[in-house]
Amino acid sequence: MPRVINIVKKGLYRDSVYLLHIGEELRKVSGVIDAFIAMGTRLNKDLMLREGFLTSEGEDAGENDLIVALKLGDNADIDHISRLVEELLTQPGARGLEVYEDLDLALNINRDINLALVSIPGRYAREVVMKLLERGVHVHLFSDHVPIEDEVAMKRYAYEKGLLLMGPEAGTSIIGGVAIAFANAVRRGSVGVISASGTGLQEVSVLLHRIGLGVSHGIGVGGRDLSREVGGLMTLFSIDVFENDPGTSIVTIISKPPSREIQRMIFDYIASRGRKSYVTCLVGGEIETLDPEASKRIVQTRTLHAAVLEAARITDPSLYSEAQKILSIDGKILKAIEDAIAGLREEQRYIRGLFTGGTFAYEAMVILSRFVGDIWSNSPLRDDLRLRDPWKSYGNTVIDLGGEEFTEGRAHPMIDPSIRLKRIVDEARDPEVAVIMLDFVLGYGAHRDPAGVHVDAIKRAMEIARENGRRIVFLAHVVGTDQDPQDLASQERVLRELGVIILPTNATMALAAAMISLRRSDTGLIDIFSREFLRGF
Amino acid sequence: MGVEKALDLLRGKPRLVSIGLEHFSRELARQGVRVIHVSWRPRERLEKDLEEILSKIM
Repeated sequence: MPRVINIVKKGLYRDSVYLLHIGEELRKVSGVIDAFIAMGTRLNKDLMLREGFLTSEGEDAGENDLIVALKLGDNADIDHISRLVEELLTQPGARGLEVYEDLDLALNINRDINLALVSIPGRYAREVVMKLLERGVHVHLFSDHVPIEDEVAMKRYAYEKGLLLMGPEAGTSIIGGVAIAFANAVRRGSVGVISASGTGLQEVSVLLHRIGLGVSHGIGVGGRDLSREVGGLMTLFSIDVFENDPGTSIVTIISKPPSREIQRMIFDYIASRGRKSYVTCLVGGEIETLDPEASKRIVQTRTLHAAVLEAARITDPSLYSEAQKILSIDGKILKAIEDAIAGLREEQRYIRGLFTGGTFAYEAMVILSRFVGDIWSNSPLRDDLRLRDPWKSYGNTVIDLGGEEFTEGRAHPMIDPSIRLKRIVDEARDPEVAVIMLDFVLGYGAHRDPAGVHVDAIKRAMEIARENGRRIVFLAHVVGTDQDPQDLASQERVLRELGVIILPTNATMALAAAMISLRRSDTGLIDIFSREFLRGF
Repeated sequence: MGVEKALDLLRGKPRLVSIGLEHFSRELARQGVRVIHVSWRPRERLEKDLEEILSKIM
């Protein structure tokens, strides 16, 4: 039996990604079987308890205290390990960066700074953001858990000053070709993207790149921008910006379902003020009735995939048919789906989606519910479909691992895959599971090797199924480009070698899951999918 | 409200300050972008509470 120790550092704060790296370092030390280092939030303590890491010392730690939890073997040299923990924690590894302790000082010395990326706990964001806006600096606010009244106040102030406030909860922006927070390396081009969804912007920019188009700029406005409270303030401002940006000819607007009245207002605004072409994708939202004049310039779509096809159609009709081919379920994939169906046992009916991207989860649910009915989730389409326990799937389930129940005081699942790795293995134990969907997000900000870090878990899941006389099907969509630091081709190769079926878009992955669950490898479902989810309105 | 300041930002490469996750600062530096990092940690609870009390009575 390993010995478990908890070292608690009262009042010591280190950010979650930094702690992740310290954990990796400690696991390499002889005598350390496993390590879990995190701030003492409720979620982290629950996870530690679940995984046998928590002692009474850790249990007593508060959310402002840091817990180093270690499982040690007989050969562990505790004095050496304790010294190492001290060293790692007292030397924040800011090597190679120009670091300041004080924001005012940093801005006074560097007067050319024009954009801030803010990623601090949400309840502290307002003070920092207001200071930046006062000094005329545009802001990308990554933090979540920012009170809505703070968001309204900050955005009004930014709007008055003519500054962009991207976020809160903005996972992604691409400004002047630079990837801000989680974003891919994509070609520059003439499509401007305004997005209330980080992964929505990643998918659209990546698919545009794959079909040969490019992005002028991608402005992440934050998940709540189109709510009634915020009133679409930054979306409206970004429309004005793109209307005046000579590098942008098509504007794409992406969001989960907005407030109905704000949606109407945005369309009216474009109809009265816009001169450029617009493609909208309000995933899971209603299609708006437009007057004939407005409908000449605005195309509405239901999926991110369709938004990219429509941008291609506006650019050049011949590119549209080429793009259709590039993003389709081709003969090879269809064959793989057929084989997968042939290997299933009768009781294997259910789909499980384990997503790191919230909009991917949402889009998958919208498509799946059309074909297989109710989808349970921690972030469901309807409130009565909310899982009682988000840690346990039921029937057809789609999980957003970026949801707050999985992320408080922890790094985002695109950086820290540990929760998903365990969940993959858990799902494989369920005899009714037929297919597991996974998104793999590449690009700046994301894990250095997302596919590689999943290999053992996927192998283990397949093994568990095999031991029980089943075969489990894995589907993946890799959100990346040939220019991303992780190298798209090698990421896809690693997954393919395991027997994972790779789909070109998130929407086609959901379609493939439905086909497998319903045992339909004919083109019937594909036709319905194309008619309802791939066309412009 | 004008859009001039935003258009200025979009015209060239942004010059960044990154506050919070050092990981993001490194990812920006990797792209060859000008970035400075401001390390951030929460102020002591007590200090915050005192400030809130003072703001109510003053």
